[in-house]
This record gives sequence, C-alpha cells and structure tokens, in this order.
Amino acid sequence: MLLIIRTTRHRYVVRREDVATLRAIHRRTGNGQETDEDQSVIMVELGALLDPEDVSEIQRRHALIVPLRRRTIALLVDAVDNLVDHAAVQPLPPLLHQRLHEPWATGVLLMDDHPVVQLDVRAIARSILLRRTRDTEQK
Amino acid sequence: MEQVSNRQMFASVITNPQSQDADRARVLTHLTMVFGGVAGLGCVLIIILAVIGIMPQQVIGAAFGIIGMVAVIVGGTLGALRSGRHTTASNIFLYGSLIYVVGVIYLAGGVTGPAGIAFLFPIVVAGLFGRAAESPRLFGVALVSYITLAFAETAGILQPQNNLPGLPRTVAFVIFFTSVGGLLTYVASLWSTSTLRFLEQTRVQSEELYETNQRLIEKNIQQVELGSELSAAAGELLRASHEQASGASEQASAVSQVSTTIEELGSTARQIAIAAEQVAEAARQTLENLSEGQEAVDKSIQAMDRIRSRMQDVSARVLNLGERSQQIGEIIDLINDLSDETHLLALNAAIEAAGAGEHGRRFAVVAAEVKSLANRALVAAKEVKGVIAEIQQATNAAVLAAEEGGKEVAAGVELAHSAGQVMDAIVMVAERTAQSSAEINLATAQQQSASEQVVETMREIADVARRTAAGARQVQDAAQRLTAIANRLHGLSQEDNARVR
Repeated sequence: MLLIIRTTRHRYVVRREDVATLRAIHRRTGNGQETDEDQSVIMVELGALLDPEDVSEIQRRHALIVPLRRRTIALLVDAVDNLVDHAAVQPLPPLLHQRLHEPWATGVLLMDDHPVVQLDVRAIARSILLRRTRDTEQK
Repeated sequence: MEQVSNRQMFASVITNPQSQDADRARVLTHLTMVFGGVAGLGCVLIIILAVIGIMPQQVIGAAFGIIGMVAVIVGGTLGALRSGRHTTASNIFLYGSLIYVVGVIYLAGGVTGPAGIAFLFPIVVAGLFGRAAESPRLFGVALVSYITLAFAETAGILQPQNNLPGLPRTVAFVIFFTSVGGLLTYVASLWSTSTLRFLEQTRVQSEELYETNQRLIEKNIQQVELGSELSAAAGELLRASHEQASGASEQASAVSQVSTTIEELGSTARQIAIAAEQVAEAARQTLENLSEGQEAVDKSIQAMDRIRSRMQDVSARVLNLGERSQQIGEIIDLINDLSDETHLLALNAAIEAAGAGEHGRRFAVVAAEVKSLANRALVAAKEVKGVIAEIQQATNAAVLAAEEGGKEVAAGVELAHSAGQVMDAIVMVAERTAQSSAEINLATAQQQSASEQVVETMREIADVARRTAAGARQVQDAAQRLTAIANRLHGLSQEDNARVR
C-alpha cells in the first residue's frame, strides 16, 4: 500500500511500511528544518528538500514520522491523502536508478495520467541525518 | 390866472393874429368904451360951453345928436360882443365910427374943414385889429363918403355947419382935435407898444430859435453818432441774428436727433421692461421651483440621515456577522483540525491494520470508514470554510461598502446641506432678482414716461427752435433794414449839420 503525499507544487507516493506513523504539526517558524519539542525528532520540509521552489505557506503540517536508530525524522508535507495500491508503481530502470545522486526515488506511479514519483522516505531520512551529522562535525 | 393890463392885452391881440376871440372882444370893449367916453366927453364939454354961453346954443342939438350916434355905436358894439358876434361887433364899431367921423366932418365945416383927418381913426383901428383887408374897404367907404360929401357940398345939397364965430369955432376945433388926437394917440401908443412887444417877442423867438437850432445841431450830432452806433449795433445784430438762425437750425437738428435718440431710449426701456417682466416671472418660477427643491432637499437630508443610521446599523450588523463568521471559521478550523486528526488517525489505523495482517483487516475497514468520514468532514469543512471565507469576504466587502456607503451618505448629507445652503442662497438671489426686476420694471416704466415727456418736450423745443430760427431770420431782415435806416439817418444828419452850419 502507498500513501499519497502532497506538497504545494507536487504529489508523491511513499510506501506505508516506510512510515511509522502520521502526525499533525502546527508550524511555528518558517525555516526548513525544525526541531520538535521532543529533541530527538528532526522535522524537515519535504517539498523544499526535493524542489527549492516548492515552499508551502500552510501552517498545519502533516508529518511522516520515520524512525531511525538514534533519531526520528519527521518529513513535513501539506497533506497525506490516501492509500493506493502498491502494484501500480513502476520501478525505475536500473540505468536511471544507478545514476541518481541520492537514491530517494524508487518508482513512478501514473495517477490521472500524470506521473507521480515514489519516494523512499527512509533513504531521505538517512540522508538528512547523515547531512546533519556531517554539518555538526564540520562545525 | 395872472391879470394882464389892457395895454398888454391890446398889444398881444395886435401882434398875435391867432389871438382868442375873448381877448379881441375885451380889447374891442375897452376901445369902444374909450371911444364912447372921449366922444361923449367932448360933446358934454360942448354942451356945457354952450350952456355957459361960450358956444352957440345951436350946437347943443348937434352935440346931443353925436352923443346919440356914439351911444348907438357903443351900444351896438357892446350888444354884438355880448351876443358873441365879434365880427359884427367890430364892423359896427368900425363903420359906426366912420359914420361918426362923417357926422363930425359935416358938423365941423365939411370936407374942407379940419375934421377930415378923423377918417384915419377907423382905418388905423381896423389895421390894429389885424383886419388888414378891412382897412382898404374902410378907406374906400371913407373915400366914397368924403367924395359924396364933397359932391353934396359942391352941388349945394348939404350945407356943412361951419358958421361958428371965432372963439367957439376955435374951442370946437380944440375939442375935436383933442378928442380925435387923443384917440389916435392912444391907438398910436398901443401900436408902438405892440411893435416893441412884437420886436421883443421876435428877439425872444429868434433866441429860442437859435437855441433850438443849437439843440437841433447837437441832436443831429448825437443822431449821427447814434446812427453810427446804430449801424454798428445793427451789424452786430445782423451777425448775431445770423448766428442765432444758424444756431437755431443746428439746435433744431440736434433736438431732432436727441428726440430720435430719446425715442430709441424709450423703445429700449420698453424692451427692458418686457425683459424685466420676463426675469421677474422667471424669478417667481425659480422661487416656486426652489421652494419645491428645498423641500426635496430637506426630505433628502432626512432620508440621508435615516440611510446613514440604517447604514451604521447594517455596518454594525455586518461587523457582528463577520465576527460570527470568524467564530464559525475558527470552529470550522477546529473541525478541520479534528477531521484532519481523524484523517491521520484513520491513516495511522490503516497503517497499523496493514501491519497487523489478517487480524487487522476488519480494523482496516473501520479505519477506512473513519478516514472516509474524516475526509468527508474535511471536504465539508473545507466547503464550509470556503463559504465562510466567502461570507467573511462578503461581510468585509459589505463592511467596507457600508463604511463607504456611510461616508458617501455623510458626503451626500453634507452635499445636501450644501445644496440646501446653495438653494437658500439661490432663493435669496431669486428674491433679490425678483425685487430688482420689479424695481427695474418700475424704473423702466418711469424712464419710459420720462422719455415720452422728454420726447414731447424735445418736440416743443424743436418747434421753439424752428420758430426761433424763423424769428432770427426776421430779426436778420429787420437788422438789414435797420442798417439801411441807420445809413440813411447818418447821411441825413450829416446833411442837416452841413446845412445848419
């Protein structure tokens, strides 16, 4: 099963087994990465992460909670709408998948004759945590 | 009246052929009385001398005869004078005295006697009376009487009484000579007095004539000077009359022009009066319309006030509605949050149900239903929120519109007040206009009447000017004639002066 997530400019699908749970969050500041009251949760705007121009103004955010070993990553989107069938997703060809800089996209799903990219939110969460760790170490 | 003497009277009658009959009668009376007195006194003296014996007795009868003759002459003369027949009286006296002389000649010795000189008495007296034509007749009668008497003596028909002796004859001659000489002396003295008086009167008249001539010369000189002045004045009068005639003609023309202008002015005044009447009518209509408009403005102001009050009420209600809508929006947000939470819970439940496998399938169905309900609630909340947003937008627009409307109404009220004030001002102006037009109407009526009077006066003035021009022409003619008369007078005066000098 897949979850359809919406940002301001795009729609994506993610595997539901990659998401631990869904939460509703009210955004207080406008920066891209925020920290929840629980310091172990790192919140990141998924739309701006994938497309710098995809910036949302909606205060109420849906958070895709992806727990890692030490920290939990909350990917913030405008809305999580529905579940679709997993079988309809077409996996990326190996040539294209091997040449991605980050292995965040795993397939494409046609919805209403529009292609919707399937994201690997766990890979995205790991990249975020790795980048955070690297930045912390550089400081 | 000054009483003049008989001598002066007699002299005046002699020297003045135009003397009054009364004066002549007076002189003749006096002369008759002297004649009667002298003749009677001589006869009385002869009678006395005859009584005392100096004269013979036979002369007494002749003396009484002469006295009777003298009495007849004196009585006839005085009677004729008394009856106013002066010529008859003088003829009686003259011819009576001639008969008396004839008688005396007969008694004094005939034609060859000394009494022949007595014929001079009536002839001289006739001359003294200014009756020169009577003297030749008297002389003729005396001559005829003398010749007849001489013929009668020669023929022996009459015998003159010449038989007195020496002394009586001498006394008779003395008495006769004295009486006739006295009468002639008296007449001669009167003649001399009258001659002197005549000469004196002639001298006085000459002096008066000389003085009159001198005054006449002076007057002629003055007439010459006056003639010159008259000629100059006539020339000036001619020029003045010419100028007056020209001025009168110009005045008549100017008065005619003024009259025409005044008539045009009167016509203009009538047009102004008509226009003023139209203006007054327009002002009255304007006042009526303004009255209605003022009522409409007052009503509109009241309506504007009510609209503003309503608008404020509506605005308050709309604001209240907006607040309620905001509250509803908040509620909808809450519902939306709840729906979203429910949606997420349903998703999470679905996720958990998927993780539970077959055990969670039924739970997944419930979660799907819950999610569907949450989605429907979200959709409904979204729709309601959209409606609420529209309502809020509409209420905001309504509030803004109400505020704008309130401002517009306030501006309208202000404009209505301004319009009312303007209409008040217009009413005042219209009233002033009506009053002014009435005054203009009255003034133009007065002006029209005055213009008509002026036109009538101008016509009279033009008539007077025409008559003045005609009079000036007549004066001009008169001046020309006066100039001619002055020239003639000047010439005559010079001729008179030359003749007098």
